[in-house]
Amino acid sequence: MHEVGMLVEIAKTAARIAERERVERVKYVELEVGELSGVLPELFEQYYSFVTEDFPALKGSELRIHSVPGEALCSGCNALYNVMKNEGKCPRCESCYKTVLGGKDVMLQQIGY
Amino acid sequence: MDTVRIIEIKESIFADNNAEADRIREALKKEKTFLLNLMSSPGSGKTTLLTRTIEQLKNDLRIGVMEADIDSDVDALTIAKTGVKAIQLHTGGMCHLDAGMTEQGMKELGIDDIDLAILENVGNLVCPAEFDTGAVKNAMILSVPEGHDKPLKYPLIFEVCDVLLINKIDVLPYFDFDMEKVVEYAHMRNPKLEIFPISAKTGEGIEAWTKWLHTQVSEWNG
Repeated sequence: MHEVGMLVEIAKTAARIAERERVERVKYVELEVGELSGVLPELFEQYYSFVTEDFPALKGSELRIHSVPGEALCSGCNALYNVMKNEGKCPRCESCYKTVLGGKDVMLQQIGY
Repeated sequence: MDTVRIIEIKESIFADNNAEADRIREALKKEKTFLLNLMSSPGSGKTTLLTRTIEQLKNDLRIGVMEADIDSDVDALTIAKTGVKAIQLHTGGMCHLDAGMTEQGMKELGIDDIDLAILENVGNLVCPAEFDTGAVKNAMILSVPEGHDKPLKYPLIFEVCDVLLINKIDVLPYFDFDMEKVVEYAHMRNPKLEIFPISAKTGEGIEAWTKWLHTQVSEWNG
């Protein structure tokens, strides 16, 4: 259920920006959801309208989600690989030491109005 | 035609929380207070471990404990019996603590006369891992009955923690818990993770853990 807590954070940020820009009615909120963020996008979609009930500027707006793959650079052999598909282990040299290059975050990309 | 105007934002939803957590760490450094964030699932033995840890360290360090729960104050009362300062935080239905709630808790606890503050997070392996509380180090407990496959199922918490305590090793003979496997899986998620097998009940392994903690506190507080 942690998606609800995150949605509240998202709604707060989006509402703050809408207020700053004097936007009364937001049409959509666009998110980038990283594969490694631990978030289930379906749950975001499911609870979005419920959470935005409390934010007048966001009421009735649409939620758009783009998924971002979780890529890592292996510290052992410099191979670039997808963390989820390889369970965190480099498919070439099997090292677990790595630098995750992206896909850990949930980003608020834009709002449309 | 209806035109849509766009405002570009490109901001992490954790940005506010992360900035606040960094501010907390700065304040802690200034006050010479070490904050440990302790996480685990419900029933893994957090409060029992804390009681043991306090017994071992209370003569050397001034300790304060913040107990976070969705409701009730049973844990804070248990900790208060050990003689250290303890407060209860209620998350109001939320499944984790964020930096803002931690800051409020530290104000209530008063950190100016505390060397080691411990935050007992809400029992949960998912949400607490996502929110930086401003702690200096993150610790987690995995207890034997929970099974050795948890690092595979809840990768994030193993990634964000500095230390893993494997609790309830006194019941190892009764469970299919593979110690070698859990260490292997945990290191797959986080090769730098320190691991201590302990029994908070019998006291086995507690000294190695408290020694590690004491060293961390001394290094941070200078």
